[in-house]
Amino acid sequence: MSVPGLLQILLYAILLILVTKPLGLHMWRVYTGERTFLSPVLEPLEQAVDRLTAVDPSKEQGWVGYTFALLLFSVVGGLLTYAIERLQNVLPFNPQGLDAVSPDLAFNTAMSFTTNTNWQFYAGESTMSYSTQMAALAFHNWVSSAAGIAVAIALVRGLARRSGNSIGNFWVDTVRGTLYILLPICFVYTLFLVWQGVPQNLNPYDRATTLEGASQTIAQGPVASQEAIKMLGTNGGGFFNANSAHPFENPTPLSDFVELFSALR
Amino acid sequence: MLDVVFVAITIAFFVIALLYARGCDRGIGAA
Repeated sequence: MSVPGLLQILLYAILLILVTKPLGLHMWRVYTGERTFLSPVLEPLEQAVDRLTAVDPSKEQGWVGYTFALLLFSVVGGLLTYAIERLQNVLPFNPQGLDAVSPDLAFNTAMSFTTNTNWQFYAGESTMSYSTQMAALAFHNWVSSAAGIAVAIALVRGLARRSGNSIGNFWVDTVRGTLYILLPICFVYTLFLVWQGVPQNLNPYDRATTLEGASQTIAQGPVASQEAIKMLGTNGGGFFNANSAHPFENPTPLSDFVELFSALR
Repeated sequence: MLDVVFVAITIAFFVIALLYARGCDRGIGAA
């Protein structure tokens, strides 16, 4: 292995160790309900979501209640994703005029993304409209990650608490994980990817003529915002068929390093 | 037609998982 390659692995490991304690402490504050440095900005949003969804954040659930909430959240999210895929031909943000996704592929994708499996049995750029990519697939990249972290936290609470019948509140854990952990990181991350050259638009695909005279379709779309949560949430389901091997998902050595880092952070 | 089948499968899975969780809880309570 080359010296730069070894140095890159070393840098990777050092950064991973350096980020563990501050991020861990931040996550601890988030899941114990303490104030964080983001509270002045995000607390009003959190309270608004709690009010809108009629969730009492002080009320904890037992494990059956927590499981019920997770299953209900998943079944509604799964059916919503299925509906978006099946109706994408009549929904907005479909500049390529892509057809509705076939029932079997829509079901496979909906269930796979709901359970954070993210099996990508399609080529995103020729199958999924922008509304499907954003509202169905990127949505699940977010919430299935937040729900997965919430379940891990509930498990830890169940092990750590010596007595009591509750393990936290699924709705509170999922909303707080999304708002205080995933959202701020992805906001900065998306801007970073745009800086590196990842597209973030709602334009139709461009047509280009190569030097040899062949016609080429340049697929694009809201890629950066989906790429950020795809890597951070350790999801699959990239915007393009080739995933992070596509130059519009991962254009530079720096973006490659950060994407690798964010997948293991 | 397939749409109805897939939605029914999803809801059935949800009900079965819920009943299973409740059953487990009763089992834990009994133990």
